[in-house]
Amino acid sequence: MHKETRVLIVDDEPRNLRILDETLDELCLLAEALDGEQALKQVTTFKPDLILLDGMMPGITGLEVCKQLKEDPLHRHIKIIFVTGQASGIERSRGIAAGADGYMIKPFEEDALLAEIDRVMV
Amino acid sequence: MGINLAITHEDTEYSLADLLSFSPTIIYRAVPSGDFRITYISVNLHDILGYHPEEIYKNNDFWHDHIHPDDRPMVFQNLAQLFVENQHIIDYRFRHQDGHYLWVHDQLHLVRDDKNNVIDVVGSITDITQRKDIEQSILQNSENMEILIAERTAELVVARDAALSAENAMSTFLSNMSHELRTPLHGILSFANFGIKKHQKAKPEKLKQYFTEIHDSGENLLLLINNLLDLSKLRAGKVVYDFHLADLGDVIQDVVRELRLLAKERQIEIDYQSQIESTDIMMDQMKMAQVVRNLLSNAIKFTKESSIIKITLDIDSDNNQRIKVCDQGVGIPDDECELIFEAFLQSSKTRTNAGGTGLGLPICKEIIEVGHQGSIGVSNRIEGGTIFTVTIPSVQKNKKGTLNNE
Repeated sequence: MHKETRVLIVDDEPRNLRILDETLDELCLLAEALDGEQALKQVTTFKPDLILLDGMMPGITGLEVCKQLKEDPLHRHIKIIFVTGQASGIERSRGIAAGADGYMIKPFEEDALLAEIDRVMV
Repeated sequence: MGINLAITHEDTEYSLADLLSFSPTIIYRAVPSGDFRITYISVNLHDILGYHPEEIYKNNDFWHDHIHPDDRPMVFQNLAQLFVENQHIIDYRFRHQDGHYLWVHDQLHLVRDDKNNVIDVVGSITDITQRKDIEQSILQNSENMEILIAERTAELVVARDAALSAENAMSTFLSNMSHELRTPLHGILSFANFGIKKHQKAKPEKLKQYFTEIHDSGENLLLLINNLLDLSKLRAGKVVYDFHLADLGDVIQDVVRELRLLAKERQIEIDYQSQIESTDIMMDQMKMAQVVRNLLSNAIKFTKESSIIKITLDIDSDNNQRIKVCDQGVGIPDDECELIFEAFLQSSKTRTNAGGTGLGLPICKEIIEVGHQGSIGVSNRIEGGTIFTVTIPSVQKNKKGTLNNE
């Protein structure tokens, strides 16, 4: 990941956004969204290369956001990593089935997230 | 035949009649053709069926006419069997002289002479009403048993389905709980890590922010755990309710006073109006205050800034005391109005940044419905916002179940 990489972080919990912000702020270009609807708007305006997406959100869930983007030829290229508290195997397979490129379970170490981003962004 | 009925005009007639009068069986003789006219019938006929033999001798149709109309076709249709098998046995209902019907067991025998010519029909009639009643009750019992078995089976199916659905609910609850616990833990661990990594370079304000985040996440975690414990104790019936007479209006006023400052921060006014005379009802005052506090702080959290929250107390048509909390928030989608009382399910409209544990309303529901035999529900206002309604019976029907129940 380099400084021009555009990363959209999506979570309905502001504290989680602050954590991602603290981790990534100096490493890339960041934008935030508090729910799925905002996230889909940001996709067209901010044009991210990578989305760190929470799974459980009100309204349009993370899973739906992921499906929509991966089914859309215009946005399919955007890498998506789920960053979620949903720890079960079923949730993970649902995320992967929806087309996600990576899956992080909260709580996670900063370095583990950076490693996952590097893996996905090659 | 053991009894020689040819002996009729000798002195033995009396002794035979005497003997027969002690017998539970009526003996008769009939013409073996045509209308089966009865030529002799024993006098115990009177003890058993209430008639005198003369009545029968006089009327050729007497027997036919006194058989229960429903049984008559069956009796006469099968009578021809007598000439094939030399004997015939039938059970039928016969009308007693006093009008009620008795079940009788009628055994007819054909008597033939040396040349095999039919000369007589000799029959015996026994009252089998008691046996038929027992048979009937056995039949009834076995039918009842079948119904009972069917009912029990249905109950078991319901119980099995309930157990399965409870298991599903439990697994959903656990997976939600895991998610909810991870969120504050993630905050604690992440900001603690930032502190560990950056403490040498970071400014004191930055470090203070990390500690504040850790502290707030920890408080969230504590609140979540406390709520979880509360809810599981309530659901397990392990909560001791401290019931006594108290005024619901006083409870509401205390909570309103307590939350007024919090409301002021968002320029929200709380307007409380009681439309009833102050009357004490049985309640757990602390828990009732917990419910009112939860509803009111939800309203403060979700209503528009600079708006008014109305809280009223009145009596509904069923004579329950009724609390209404009306806010001017975004409302709750209709299909979520019941879901929000389930553990961890916050309304999709208000979940973002709500900071709640998703357990407040389920706790309220337990306290109101199980603890106080009341009701709690929510509806949307046409003009926007929601109304939470709580009703508490003015007289609790069964306090024993919950009163100091260890």
